[in-house]
Amino acid sequence: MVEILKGNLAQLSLIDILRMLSFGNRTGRLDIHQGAKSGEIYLQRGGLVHAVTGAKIGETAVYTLMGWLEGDFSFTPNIDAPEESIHITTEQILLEASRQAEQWEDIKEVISSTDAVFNISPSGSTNTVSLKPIEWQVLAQVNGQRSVIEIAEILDLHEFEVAKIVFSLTTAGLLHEVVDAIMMNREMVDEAFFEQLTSMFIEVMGPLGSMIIEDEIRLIGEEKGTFPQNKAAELVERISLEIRDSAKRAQFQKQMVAILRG
Amino acid sequence: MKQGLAEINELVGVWGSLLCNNQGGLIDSAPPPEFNQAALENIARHSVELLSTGGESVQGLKEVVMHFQEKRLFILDMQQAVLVVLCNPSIDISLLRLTINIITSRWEEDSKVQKLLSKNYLERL
Repeated sequence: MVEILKGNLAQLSLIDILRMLSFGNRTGRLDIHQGAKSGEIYLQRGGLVHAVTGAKIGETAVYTLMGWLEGDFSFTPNIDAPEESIHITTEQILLEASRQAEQWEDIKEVISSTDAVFNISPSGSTNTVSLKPIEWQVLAQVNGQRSVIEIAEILDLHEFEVAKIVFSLTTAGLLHEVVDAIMMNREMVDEAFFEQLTSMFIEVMGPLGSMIIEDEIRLIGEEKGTFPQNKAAELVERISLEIRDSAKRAQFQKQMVAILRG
Repeated sequence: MKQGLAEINELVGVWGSLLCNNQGGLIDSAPPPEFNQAALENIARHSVELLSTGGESVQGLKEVVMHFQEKRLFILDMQQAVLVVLCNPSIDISLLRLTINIITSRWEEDSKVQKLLSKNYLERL
């Protein structure tokens, strides 16, 4: 299986990937992984024919996958779909996905990811708030432990719908985000790593080095203060590609690999 | 060369590695103990075939990572030869790439390695 397109959703959104593959009339399977979750989208000569993630299938699966703000993807060409579960045109799907993507941009300002956990705000809202039944249902599930995606699963709702509701309840002052459950459990790189990385990189690239590092951290979809250990090598690899001199690049990589391998 | 392959093998998640010429002939290897010569030659031949086939449809294809349920196969086209690394699915591919780049850069400066690669060089079929 030759993967011809690989990357992270933090750098290239799913809608852009699908547009590219559709425009190129590609046939094959797009695999998406986000932690323990995964999804597959099949294309046949540029048209979306089948999608699946967890128990979701067809258009619903595509829209669910569109909601993943981060994760790895890879496209393997020339794989036929095992079945056809998408019965609307690719243009319709991409149009609806674009609409959702625009809303996601606003939602992302408040909800860092669908794994984010919210709790009832102790101060509450200062204004009178009227809630629709569906908003009550979501609010009733918020307990400071359940993530957005878990609430969607409990209520059997699309995570995009739940995220939209959580977004509106948060902006109304009823909810606030608690520490991300994934962030709490993941191993992070320490400050000394960034000090060594920055100092060695600046030695090669000059003062622009620290800006390049900041840019790459952002492109990976992470923040310096909470940068995960399992992406440290990826960061080193990416920034080292900025060093044009191959001997200097290898020297920098050698020093950083020694640090990464402890 | 053997030392370079051994260094690759030291990385967590690496199971074994080998270097073959552009027609799949083994040049050197640091394989897992359970692998015999025939198994290594089979992997080498398939890896070269994969690079050749992929290269026809994807211009500039230099690296292929094959995902299997139990293992991963990292194949690097070094132009003069092909490096194949057998890994566990948990392998940190970025760390592997960095390690390989350090070693292949060192090989480029090593006259003994260059001599060996030139001796074994064959055009890809």
